[in-house]
Parts: sequence; C-alpha cells; structure tokens
Amino acid sequence: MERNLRIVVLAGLCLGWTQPMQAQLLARVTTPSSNLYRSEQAKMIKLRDALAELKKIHQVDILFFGRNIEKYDVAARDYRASKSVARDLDQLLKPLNLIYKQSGKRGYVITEKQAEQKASPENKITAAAGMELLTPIAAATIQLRTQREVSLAIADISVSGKIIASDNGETLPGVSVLVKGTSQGTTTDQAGEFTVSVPDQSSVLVFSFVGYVSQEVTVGSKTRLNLSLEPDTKVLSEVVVVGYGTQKKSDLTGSVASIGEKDFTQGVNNSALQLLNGKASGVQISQSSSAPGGGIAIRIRGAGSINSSNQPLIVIDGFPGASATSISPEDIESIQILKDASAAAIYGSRAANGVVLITTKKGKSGTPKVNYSAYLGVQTVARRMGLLTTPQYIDVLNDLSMEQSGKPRYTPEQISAIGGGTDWQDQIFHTALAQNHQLSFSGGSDKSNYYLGLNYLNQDGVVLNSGLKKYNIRLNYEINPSDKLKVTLNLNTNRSTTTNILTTNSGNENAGPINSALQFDPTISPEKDEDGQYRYNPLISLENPLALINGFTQKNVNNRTFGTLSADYTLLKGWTTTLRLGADIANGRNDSYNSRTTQKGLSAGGIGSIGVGEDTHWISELFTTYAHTFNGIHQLSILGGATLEKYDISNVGASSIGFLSDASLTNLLQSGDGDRGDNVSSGRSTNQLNSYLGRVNYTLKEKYLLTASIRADGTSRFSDKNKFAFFPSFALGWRISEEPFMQQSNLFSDLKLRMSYGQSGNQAIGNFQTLTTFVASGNAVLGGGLLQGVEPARIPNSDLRWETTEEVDFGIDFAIIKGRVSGSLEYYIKNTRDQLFNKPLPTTSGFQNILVNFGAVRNQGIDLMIETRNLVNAFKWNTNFTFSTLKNTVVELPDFIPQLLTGGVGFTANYAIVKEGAPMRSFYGYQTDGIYQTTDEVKDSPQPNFKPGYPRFVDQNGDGKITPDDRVILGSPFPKLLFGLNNSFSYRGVTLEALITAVQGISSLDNNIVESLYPINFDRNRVAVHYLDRWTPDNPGAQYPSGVNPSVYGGALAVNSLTISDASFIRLKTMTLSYAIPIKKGIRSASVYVAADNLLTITKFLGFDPDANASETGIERASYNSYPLNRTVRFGVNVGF
Amino acid sequence: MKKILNKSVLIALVIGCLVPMSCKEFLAEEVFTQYDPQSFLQSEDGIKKVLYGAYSRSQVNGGAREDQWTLSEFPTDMTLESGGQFEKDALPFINFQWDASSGFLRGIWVQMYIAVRDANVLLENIDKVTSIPPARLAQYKGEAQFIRAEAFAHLYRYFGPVPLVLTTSTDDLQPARPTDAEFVAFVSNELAEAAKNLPVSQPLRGQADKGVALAVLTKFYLNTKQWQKSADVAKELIDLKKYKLYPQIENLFATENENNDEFIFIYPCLAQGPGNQYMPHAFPPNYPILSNWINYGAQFRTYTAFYKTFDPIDRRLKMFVTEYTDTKGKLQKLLEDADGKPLDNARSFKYTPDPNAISQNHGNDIPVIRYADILLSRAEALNELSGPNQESIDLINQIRTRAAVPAIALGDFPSKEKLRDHLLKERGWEFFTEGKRREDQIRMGTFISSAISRGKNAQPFHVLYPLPQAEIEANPNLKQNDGY
Repeated sequence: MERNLRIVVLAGLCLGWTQPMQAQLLARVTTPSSNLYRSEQAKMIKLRDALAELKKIHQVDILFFGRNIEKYDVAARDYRASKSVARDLDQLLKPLNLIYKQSGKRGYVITEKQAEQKASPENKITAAAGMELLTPIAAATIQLRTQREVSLAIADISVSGKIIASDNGETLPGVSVLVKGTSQGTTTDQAGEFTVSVPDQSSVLVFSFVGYVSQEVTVGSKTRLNLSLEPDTKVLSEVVVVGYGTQKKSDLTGSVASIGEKDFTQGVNNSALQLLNGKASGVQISQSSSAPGGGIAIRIRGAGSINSSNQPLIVIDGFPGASATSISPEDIESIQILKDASAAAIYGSRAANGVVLITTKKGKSGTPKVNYSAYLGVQTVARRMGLLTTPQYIDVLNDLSMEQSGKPRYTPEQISAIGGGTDWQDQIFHTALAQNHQLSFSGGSDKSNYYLGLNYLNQDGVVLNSGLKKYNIRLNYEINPSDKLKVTLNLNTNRSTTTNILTTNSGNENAGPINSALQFDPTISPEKDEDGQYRYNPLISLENPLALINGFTQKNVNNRTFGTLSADYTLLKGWTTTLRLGADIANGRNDSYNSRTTQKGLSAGGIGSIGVGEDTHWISELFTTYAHTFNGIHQLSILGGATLEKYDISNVGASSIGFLSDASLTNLLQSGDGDRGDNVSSGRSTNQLNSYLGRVNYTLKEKYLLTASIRADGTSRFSDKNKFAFFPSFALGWRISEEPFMQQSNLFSDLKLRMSYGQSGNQAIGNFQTLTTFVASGNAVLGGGLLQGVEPARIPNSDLRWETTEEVDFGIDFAIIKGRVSGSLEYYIKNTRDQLFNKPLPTTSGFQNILVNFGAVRNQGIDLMIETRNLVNAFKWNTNFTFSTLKNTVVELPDFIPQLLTGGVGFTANYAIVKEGAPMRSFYGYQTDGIYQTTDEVKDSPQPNFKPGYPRFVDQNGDGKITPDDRVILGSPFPKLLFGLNNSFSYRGVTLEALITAVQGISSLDNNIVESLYPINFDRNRVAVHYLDRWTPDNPGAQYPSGVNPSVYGGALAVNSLTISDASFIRLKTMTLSYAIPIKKGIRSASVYVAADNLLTITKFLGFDPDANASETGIERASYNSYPLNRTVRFGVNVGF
Repeated sequence: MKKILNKSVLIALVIGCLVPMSCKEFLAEEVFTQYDPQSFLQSEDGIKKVLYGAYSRSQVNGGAREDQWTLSEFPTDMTLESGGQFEKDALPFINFQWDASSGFLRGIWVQMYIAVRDANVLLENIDKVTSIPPARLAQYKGEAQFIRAEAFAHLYRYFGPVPLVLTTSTDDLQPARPTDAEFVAFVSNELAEAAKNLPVSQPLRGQADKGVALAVLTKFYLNTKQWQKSADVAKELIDLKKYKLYPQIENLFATENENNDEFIFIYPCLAQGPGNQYMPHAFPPNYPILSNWINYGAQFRTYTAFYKTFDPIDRRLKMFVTEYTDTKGKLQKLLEDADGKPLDNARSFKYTPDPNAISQNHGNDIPVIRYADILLSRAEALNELSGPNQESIDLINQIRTRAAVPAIALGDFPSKEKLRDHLLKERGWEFFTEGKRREDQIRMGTFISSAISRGKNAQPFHVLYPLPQAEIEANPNLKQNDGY
C-alpha cells in the first residue's frame, strides 16, 4: 500500500515538473470507506458482520435468518469486496453451504441449502424464529417470496392491506410486516398487498422498508389496513455531492445545504435556482424580474464584493461556470449549496460567493422507467399599482392646477368629452397560460445505465407580447466496459426563445410599456387616431403603452449545449483517476425592431438591430483519488488534480434605421438607410484559468473528522507577478453522538460539532486591467463625416489581485427523538478583503478611475435549519423550517473613498452609499419629518422658500440649511432575516403542502413612488394613495405632501424617507394539493395536483413586487417598472410507466 | 507495480497531448480588440487617429443641451425651460440653485480633460515619428495645442483657472490650480502658438485652422478683459479676409447653408449623430412636424421681456415662433395671454429644422464663434479701451445692417457705459440660442443684477460655477471656488 502511495506521489511530481500545469493527480474515495478493512487484523469475522458490510458497499439489502448464519465465521483476509455483489456472496456463502436468491432489483435472501430445497416447491418458507432484516440503507425495492402462511396455528385475526409510498403513490412490494414483539410476519407482494395473522386486537404491526420510515399500527377492530410509508430523507441524502467528489453526510465538516428533488420549490420554473426558494438557510433567492425568463438573483450568506459580481459559481455535474437556466429543472436530482469557504475553497477563485452544485438524474438498473409530468398554469398579475382612476385623475389635476396657477386643468366640457377614460394597466396586462411537459426514460443494467429527459416549457407573460419557449434535451449515459473503467457522458442541449417587452431603467421616450402604462394620461382613448397612430399627450414625453406593446418587438433566441465526458479508471483498489473534458457552447441572437407605430420608430423610419454572439468555454480536468483505512480506525482519502479552462466570447452587431417598410422587421436590414443609419460592431475576448487542487479527508474512529484542501488558481487576467493565488481551507468535526458516553443517552441520534476556516476568491473583473492599451474610442465629426478616434484605455495597475474571502464557520448538526427532529445551526463570519475598487482619479488625468485592491466587507449571521416529522402515522405532518440572519458591514474603505455614492434608475441617481460601518450600498438620503403646516413654521425652518404642505426635511447637522450633509442612511438592501416554512400534510394519498417565505428588514428605493410624488410632468398619472391623502389646508393631517410644484421639494431631495420603502414581505409562495391515484394496470404510478403560486404577499411596499429589483443581480436595490409578479394556478399530472 | 507505472506514464501522455503548451503561455492575456501603444503610436496614421480622438472630445455637439443652453443661457434673461424630465435638471440653473454635485458640471469637466489627455498623448509621441514631414508635423502639433488650450479656455469660462495638465505622466495625479495670471498667460501663449502652427485653411470642415485659433484667442482675451490684445487679434483675424457676414441671418443656421464664410469655430453635427438636439426641445406642443422629427416634452422657452427688446423690423426676429396652428387646427399664441400677461413661451427656431433629421438629431452645425462675434468683440474691446469710437460704431452697424435695423450713430452714445449697454443688447439680439449670454453678462457685470431683478437669489460668487464635488474629493490639492 505504501509503495502504491509513493508511486502516486512520484507520478504526480513528475507530471508537475515536466508539465506543471497538467499534473492532475490525487486520490478519492470511490468505494465508500469500509469497515471490512478494519477487521483485516482479526483473522476471522462474523458472517453476519461481513454481510452487513457487503450491504453497505453494494447498497443492497440482504435478508437472512439469524439462526442460520449466526454460527458462521469467515476469514476476513480471504474476502475483498468486488464490483459484483453476486461474486462476493458466492465467495462468502459457497464454502458454508448457504445459498442466496436475488429478490427484486437489489435484494438478496440467504437460506440454507436444505431449507431452500424444501421451501421452493411449495413456494413458501417457514418463518419460524430468527428471521432478520438488516436495516437497509439503499433506496431500492426488495421483495421476498410470499410468506402468507405464517404460524397459522396461533393466529386469531387475519389482517390484510396495501402499502404505498407517500411521495409518489406507487405501491411498495417487499415491505416487511411484523407483529411487534414476535417473530411472526410477512412481506407485501408485487401489488403491495399483505395478509398477516395477529393474536388479538391489541397486537401492533410494524411496517418497515428500505429507505422509508418505519410505522407501527395497532390492529384494533380493523381487518383491512392501508398505509402509505414516508421516504426517509435522512437516509436518501446520506451521500452528498461536494466539489470533485462525494461524501457521506455524516462526514461533512463544511457547511453544505443539500436539497433533493422531493424538496424542490415548485412553480413555473425556468432556472434551477428557483427550486431552492425558501429551502436553504442563508440562501436568498430573489426573482428580480417576473418576466418569463426573467433574472434570478441568488445570494449565499450576503454579499462580499462591493464592485464585482456577487453571484455564486454554478456547477452542473462537475462542470463549473454553467448556467442555471439552460437546463430543465425536472432533470435535476439534487442541489448542494457549498455555503462556507471551507466547502467552497476547492473551487478557489470563483467560490467567494458560494457554489451551487447541481446533480442531474441517472438511470438505475432494472426495468426501464418512463415518466411523464405536465402542468397547465393560469397566470394573472398578482398585484397592480393603485393609480388614480380617470375621474380621480381629473379631480386631482384640477385641484393641483388651481393651487398652482389658479386655473383648472380641465374645463367641464373637456371632462364630459373624456368620458370613462382608460385604465392603461388593463390595456397591457392579460391572463396568460403556461404549460410544461417533461418526459423521461431511464433504466440500465449492471454494465450501463441511461437517463433521457425531454422538456418543453411555454410560458406566456402577463404583459402582452412577452413570453418564453424553452426546449431541453438531456442524456446521461454511463457505461462500465470493465470493472476498472467507467465512462460517463452528461449532455444537455437547450433552445430558448424569449419575447420581451421593452424594459429599461430610463424614462421618457426611452421608457417601456410598464412605465408608460403607470404614468400615461388616463383621459386618452386607447383607440388609434384618424392617421392610424396611437394617441398621445404631447406634454408627456412617453410613448403610448399600446404603441410600445404592438410597435416594439424584441426577441432573444439562445441555443446552448454543454456537457462533460469523463472516464474513471481504477488503477488499484481505492485509487481512481478521472479525466474529465467539458464544453459549453452558447449561441445567442437578439433582434429588436421599433416600428413606425411608436413616435420614436416613426421619426427614424423604423429602428432595427440584430446582435449575435457565441460564448464558448471548455475545461479539461484530471484528478485522482485514493482512499484507504489504516488499522481499521484511520480512514484517509486524498484528492489531487489540475484543470485548464478557457473562455472565448465573440459577438457581432448590426443595426439600421429608415427602412423601406416595417413589414420586414429585422429580416432585411439592408433595406434601411445605408448612408445614415447603418451601424456595425463586433468584439472578442478570451480568458484562461489554470488550477491545481488537493484535498485530504481524515477520519479517526469515525468520530473525529478533518478536512483540508488547497487550490492554486492562475488567471490570464492578472499580471505575471500575481497570476497565481492559493486558497486553503481546513475543517474539523466531532461526532459526539458516536462517543460511548452519548450512546447511553437516547436523546441524540446524531450530534456533530464542526468548525471550519477557508479562503476563496473573486476574479470577476474585466480583461486587460493590468495592460496599457489603446482602444477605438471617440468619433470626431470632421469634413461632414465621422472619423474614428483612438484613445488610451486606462491607467493600468499591475498589482491587481483577487478579492479574497476568508470565512470561519461553526456548526452543529443534530437529530433527536429518533430522527423526528433534525437540523443544523451555524454561525459564520465572512470577511472579503482586497476589494476590487474603481479608485476615482482626479479626472484632470483624463481618466475617471483606476482599478485597485482595497477595503473589506464583512458578512456574519446565523443559519438554522430544522426538519420535523410531527405526525408519522396514517395522517402525516412534516415541517421544514429555515431561518437565517444576516449582518452586512463595510469594514474598511480606502482613504481615497471615504464614501462612495452610486445608483441610477430612471432619473434618480446617487441613492446608495458605501460607507464604513454601514451595509454595502445602503440607501442614503434625506429624512422627512412630517409636513409644514403654516407659513410661520416655514419661515423659521431651514427651508424658508418652502410652502405649507411641503415635507419637512430634517436638518441633521443643525446648520440651519438643508444641504447634502443632512443625508442619512435610510435603509439596507440586505435582509436582516430570511425564513422559509414548509408544511406538508398527507393522508391516504392526498397531500397538502404549503411554503411560506419571508424577507424582513430590507429596503428598496421605489422609483415609481419618486415619479408619483415628483411627476416628471404635470399631466402624468400618479399613484393614488399619494394624492388621495395629500396635504391641503383642509386636510392638515395628511400623510403625503401637497403635490403643488413638487419639484421644489424634489430634485436631489427626492431620495428621502418617503421614497425609500420597507421592502419586507411574507409570501405564501406556493401551495399544492395532490392526490396519488390508486394504481391501474400497466401504470406504475399516477398523481394529479393543483397548485397555486404567489397566492398571498403581505407587505407595506406599494409596487408590483417587493422582491423585484431593477438592478437585476446587483446589490443596489431599486424597484422601477418591474415586470409584475404572477399569481399562478397550476393543474398538473405525473404518470410513471 | 510496473503496470501502475505504465499507467502513470499513459496518463502523463494523455494530459501532455491535451495541452501542448507551457503554463505561462496558456495564461498569457490575449488582446483582440485593443491596440498596443508601442507600435500604434509609431506611425503618422496612429498619430492621426489619436488626433481624431482628441477632436471627438473637444466637440461639444451631442452635449450642447447641457453646455450651450443649460449652463450658458438658463441662468440669464433670455431662456428658460419647463416640462419633460429635463426640468428638474434645468431648474437649479434657472433658479441659481446649482451646487458642486451637478452632473452637467462634472460632465463638461471630464470631457475637456479627456480632450487634454488625448492632445497630450499626441504632443508627447509625435516627435518620435520621424516620417512626418515638417509642415504636417507643425500642423498636427498646432491642432493638438489648440484642442488643449481651447479645452482649458472652455473650463475657465465656468470655473476660473483650472489645473494645467501638460503631460500624460501619472506621477502627479493631484495637480493644484494655478493662479489666474499663470493660467491666462499659458492659455494665451498656447493659442497664439497654435495659430502660428496652423494653416489658414484645412481640408476638413471642423478641423482647427489659424482663424479658429485666433477666434478663440480673441474671445479669451475679451473675457479676461485684455482689451488691447483682444482688439489686436480680432484685427488680425479680420485681416485674414477669409471670413464675412452671411447675407441672410435668418437662413444662416440652416443645414444647407452651414458651409458659409461666417462660421469660424463650430461643433459640427450630423443627422445620424452626434446631432444638434436643440429643435426637439424648441417645438411647442402639437407643433406640426415632419414624421422623421421628434418633439420632446422638455420645452426651451424665451422670456417675453427679452423678445420685446427687439426692434419689430429686426430680421433676427424671423427666427422666433410666437404663434402657430397646432396639429388639431388650434391657433396657439406664445408671447402673451389674452390679458397681455407674458407667457415667456416664444420659441427660438434659430436652428432651422433639418429636413433630413433623424429623430432628435438634426444636422445643423453649432457655431461656437462666428465672424459677427469677432466684429462685435473688437467693437467692445475698442470701447473699453477708449470709449465710444467710430470704428466700434461701424463694426456694430455691419451687424445691424444685415439685420435690417437702423444704423446707430456715435452721437447716440455719450459714454463708454452707454455703448457697453448697447453692445450687450446687440449681442443678445445677435447671439440668442448660441450659448453666449452668460459670459457676456458676466463680462459686462450684469449677470448677478439681472438675475436678482428676475427674483433669483443670486450671489456675487455665482459668476463662477463650483468645481465638481468628485474632483474636490479625489484631489486634495484642488481648492473649491469661494461661496460653494
């Protein structure tokens, strides 16, 4: 063994020296660490123990009669687990004159030869005493020959029944049914039926089955007992995927949240991230736009980077840098979130924001399975903005106009001509359908397995002319040509077509239909005028909402194929080397056409543009793993590897204006005005990563755990002196529940303390920051034409390096009351230093800033997850609860930036501040304190030019003036608390599930409120509440200011405590009622459900959705013309064949 | 064991084949879309491209709304703005409530310093390119010198003396402000030097030539009250005999006439952009426009009181719209309401709408200095030097004759002050909508008093704008203007 090790090291060193970048050696545990090796020292072991080990290794169930085998010992030395369970059993049992029979896919029954011969012809065996069922670990079915005639002599009452699985309604064959306190019992047959005889009514039947929670039922007067067994998630998720390998959950030392398919948050999901909503503590999933295909922002334990990306790394089946939207959520088996730096550090420079590992489904050996699931969803706008209705609008504008200029805006004749007016929200919103179909085929043998998934999603948007169509095909194929070689192909190909409305963060002529619908003149008719143009109000620089809906088209087509091909070769037992090649090729095309239907399109004669891009990313990884147990108590596994990656991005754009006709849209750009309108552009950039990684896992006596890892990452983006950086981590764990002193107490079935430290990085900077280059920039108008200029691009900084995040995590994992309550509690402190900062330069240099490393941000918080099985009998009630706190603080800022003001949405700017001691990008503005009531009050105030009815701004520094120095922090863009509460109730195949999520202590700038309180022009419509309760001399107690000449108290003052809103909310995210239909012939399982998403949101926020964010995945939060949240009712069906 | 070794070798071979290059090579940063200055600046062509970069920053065509009108006319007695989202940006300048956080001030500051940087790149590198013949070398240098000096002069109008950055070296990124005398001396010398280096004519319209440099120098001297020098340089420019007044003032600003002999220094505009975006702000509501035009919600309006100072027969009045029939057939009056109350809503249509405009972009070049300004500058300088004199009167009358208003006579002006007052009026009538009113009022000392008479809370320090706050924060050596 030692010699083998030496060779590994030697080979690694050789490779490292000759080809430094390609050394990819390491060891990994491929077979689960086994206690068998421990007994090597002892000459003989109990057969019973040997079988128990086999069961673990092969993930099968082995049934035997205890008395039959109790007497046998086997020589440990002679025995080694192989790939084949049959071979191992043969080896063990043959010398002992024992035989076995396979039962079901993964079950084996051991009998004595004579017994078998006797029982077989009559198709029964005597189940007298000593029948044992080893507690199973694998999620496989097991079936035993029927044993209905058990101990008839003592039977008084015959009880029969049927057992089904509670999760999918499938019947369960092979469930063990035992009369408690006796050895009498039976198992269910293929149809899940059983019949058993019990002595009397007080008898208790114990039902147990692999991968399911055991149940006890008192017989009572019943003779028919139908039960559904609940899957034991603890068991199912025992092995979790970690970076570059898998680990037993009990051996984890870092912070890893693992969510299996059963727990995914359902809905009309385009992104895999939506599946995690409310399900993992410390993880905030925000739907920043509810448009079909809209952005999802995910934050794992806050955000550490001030200026770079705060999105985590997505890894799909080992392929890093994948996209969570270019996959069918229904192909996913489980998602692991590496939350702390110790777990994530193996991904080095891209792990600072956490890592999301997505594992897709695999085929299992056995009968091929076909699954079909589908839903039809009906979507409506969950909440509209409460705008002034047309009569209210006329009244309010007349009143304001009277107060401003003494003349009403509308004469009685005009008012009567207007009639009912138009609700522009009605004009652009509609009820939309969504449908999703997933068809999958899976199966396999012991030499290969396959999974093929086909998905079609078609979601219409609740705003007219928006929608998403997505097609996805996934093939996972695994072959084992020999015992030593395994070849795996994971291939996913995807096409999506998104039709978007115009969404911009600008106002006026450049605003989209939502902005326009909120502010457009409600006295205008939606009909077109005599010239066939939509009507508009010339004083409002907004396009008619319908002109934008019908006259502006924007289509985005993406084709993306990605996958990995890997070969695992077992060099020696315990030593496996993996070569993994992966590629991700994305081609996208954007078309946008602004026709003559809009004012802008009319004046330009149509504006058309096409953008095409190709992004490729390939990876080559070689890593090796070695696992061994020394002296039966030292379990060691080692991983080592190296990777190469390259990203290559290129794009082409073309646009024109002044088209011959709108009919050709973007399909005939050459029909545009070539001289004046044609525009072309293109670009290309690449970047490379080269990494070396290593990890050691050491377990002593299965109680004391140690993990240490290191990754060295090199990037093309930094200069030679900083190309490589090292990201180490270590973690310790102590499974207290394994200590003898704990095993006496029955309280804890599991208790583990863990502590970890790690470093990870963030290289999300642009290319060329360390180089001096010149770029094509600036078009001079000379001689009546444009001449392209060239300018220096930047002042380079060759000292740039990675932002580094250091994190310490303390955790406790526990399970009490026989696993009825389990969970984990963690506390973390995460410091991100060497922030990549655009240091503002004096622009006298001709440059506005230079990228430097400086400053630190800290995130700290508590993550709590609790899972309880409150009721476990026929009526079941399970609860999952996640809770987390977050405190984000800017710890250190460069002296050159005592504070940084940023933010820009619509016409509101500089509302967010980065300042030491405050959360990153806190809201920064003026505090208001009521409303001025009298002219005397105004006269003595810091704002003597104000009028009664204007808001009173707080003179924070008491200098008698309101200046920018009076701004204070008005809120944080980070939630103080997050929680998710999922309750599931089931009874006889009917399941009701409800997920509540909540985000508390978060604020947002509501720019629609800014535009309501400070209308860009007088005629724009406004949010009703601000004007129905506005200050007038007759309404001195009003909540809102007078609205008379509001620009006087607006402008830079508009960022104030009236416009920064509390965006906390509690949402009934999804509620599902499902029914497992009793099985019919030829169908494995069937269920139907009805679900409602976003049924209820409790919030003080006035906009469409407090969760929406105009800055998409950015930290700055602003709500502005967000695509409205959908309330969806889904009707679905799942069928398995 | 041997088998294992063989396998290791095999693995090594596999990886070796995968990436047959060294680590350092693999991690080299590839540049596809940018240029290496080492080679790029070695050719005349590269130098020319840098010069175009400098020109692009020096031309305030797309940003004229902020620069020419908002900063230079809204705080005066001529023009105001209402409506559109622009109103909130315009109001501080109309109401004398601007502060150092203004994005417009920072915008023009940054743009001018980028022009300075680009000019510095050229001036530092051009001597290394030996292939350029001396005449062209002098011309390129002259253009870069002009762009740099003009940018400084531009900033001076708003901020007073600003740091003179004359190198691309990044050793001192925190320059201090020079004294007024140092600054004025440098810019004057540099413009004079540029005028020497530049040819009288250049092939491309919009390129700097001798006349352009002299024109900027004339105005710089005038605004710094170096009357004699201003008068002299104006004379030198007049004596070039290259420029003359265009006969029909009301047609001067139309795109088809922009190739005239009157425009000296221009910000050239194109319909495909960067364009002149004045007209979308000037069209009144529901004004009948061509389908390829656009009418913004933001409205640039003229004070009725200013309009009323014109002689009714003044041809320059033809460039105003005071009433129109809107698209709904309704006659709209813009000067006064039925009660004779001023509406302050007349529209200057000086930039005759371009029939080929594309949306908001019209092709009308924006004149920065035209010959009429040189004539009136010399008239003003001579008056300041020696009081009313016949040459000044004659110069003014050239302008008045073209405008078809009666000539003035020397006898009408008993004092320097009287002629100065007339010059301010004459300049108003001649240069409305050309972004000159603020500097004229400041030079003639009426900027603050005129604002106070309009009811604004104007203070003496308002004659200078504050340096952008971000600059003050980034550069501790920079002293803010008094009052801010």
